[in-house]
Amino acid sequence: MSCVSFWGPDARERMVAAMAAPPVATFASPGVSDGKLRRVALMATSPDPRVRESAALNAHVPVEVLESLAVDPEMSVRCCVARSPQASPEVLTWLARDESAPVRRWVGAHPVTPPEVMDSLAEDPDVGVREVVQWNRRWPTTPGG
Amino acid sequence: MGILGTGIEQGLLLKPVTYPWAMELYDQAVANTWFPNEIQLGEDLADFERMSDEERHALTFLMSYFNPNELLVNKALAFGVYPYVNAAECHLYLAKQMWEEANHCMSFEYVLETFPIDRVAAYESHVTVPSMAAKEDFEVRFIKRMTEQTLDITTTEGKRDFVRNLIAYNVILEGIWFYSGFMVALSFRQRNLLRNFGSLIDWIVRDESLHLKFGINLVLTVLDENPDIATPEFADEIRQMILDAVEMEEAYNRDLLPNGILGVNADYINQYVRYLADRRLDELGFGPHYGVANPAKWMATANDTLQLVNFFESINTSYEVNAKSGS
Repeated sequence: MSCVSFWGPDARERMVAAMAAPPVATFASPGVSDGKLRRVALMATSPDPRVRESAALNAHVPVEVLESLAVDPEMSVRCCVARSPQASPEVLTWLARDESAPVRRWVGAHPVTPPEVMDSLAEDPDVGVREVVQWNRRWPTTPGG
Repeated sequence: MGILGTGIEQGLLLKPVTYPWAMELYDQAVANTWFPNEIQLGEDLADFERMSDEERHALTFLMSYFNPNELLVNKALAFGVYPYVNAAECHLYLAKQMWEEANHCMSFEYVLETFPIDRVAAYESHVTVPSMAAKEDFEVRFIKRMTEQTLDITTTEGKRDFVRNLIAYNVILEGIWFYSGFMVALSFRQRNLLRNFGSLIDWIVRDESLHLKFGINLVLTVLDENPDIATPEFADEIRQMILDAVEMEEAYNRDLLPNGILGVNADYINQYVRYLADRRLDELGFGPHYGVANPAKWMATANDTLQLVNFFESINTSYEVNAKSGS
């Protein structure tokens, strides 16, 4: 079998016929159970920083878990907190004062970093932080804008 | 007993763990578990509407390449890797990897369903672009060998076929060709487009980093345990496979990006491909061949460690090249 043959006339015809059909999946993920939240909290206490990174990046990480990871001794974990979509403005404000520039860069990239914190990061001694702030400010403020 | 073998009754007990690196990678992979709809792709629709025709064309090509190839990787794992590995901890990881490939396939399906992409037109490139077809023929050749009854994993030549297949799929397809696509995919975010799509790619890259690490460890373990296969001639053959793959990828990028898009052009991507190839050669114990710098430093973190893509470095790099200058 050549992989190219996956797209022959027959496959094309079947695909065209299927175009009007509904999506093959609802792309649904399992709901957020207490067990899932406990699992994320447990991951946040792992001695392996790579697992704590995963906890910080989990889509369902509880706020209190994220807050505990915001003071993690590993910079890579704090970076993950700073880029978590669940990070609150308060956590981002805290991390904006982090001693490590990569953490502050992620704060500068976050969509919900408060404007006054962005102003402060725009004057950061690290050039990378300043550049990220410039990049972040180029996002349209209105959808499609 | 080594890592290779086909015994059904072997590899059924997890303890003692012979290859702790496989167990560690399994733990990390499980911790990384994610689902496509945790990313709100619909929020990127407005960006898609304001993208140029060339930008949409690039996204379409990416989807047409990634989607079937994620499933092809699964075939390579199912037919070419899993049956020939004995260690339970490796089977655990491979099972998780196969779910991840399915999850990536569904992620790209999510993209195809979210954005108004003509998938029939997209897949036409598989037959109308010769360099795309050449890449696929290359991969299929290796997996076909692994499904033949004559393959005996206890022989020197059988072990070499196993390594060749791993190089073709893990190192070349996942470790070089996919990364070249990820770089183009993430360049949208560099231009303040498709933020959520970028997050989806971040998750995929995070998985792929582990796949690559597992595959390289597996190759090195097989070579270490089977000194009979590691001749200078075989080493030259493996090295040449990677160099040939770079040529194929360069031709592919020239076909797909003849005029440059998104602030990148074929030369820019191809320098990144050469940089990646040098990294893979180095990881396999060869010296670098091309000796080129990474033109996309914003991708470096994703390749070097298990960190997510560090797009912060992009702004002061050569990213803002004239799209047509090197074409």
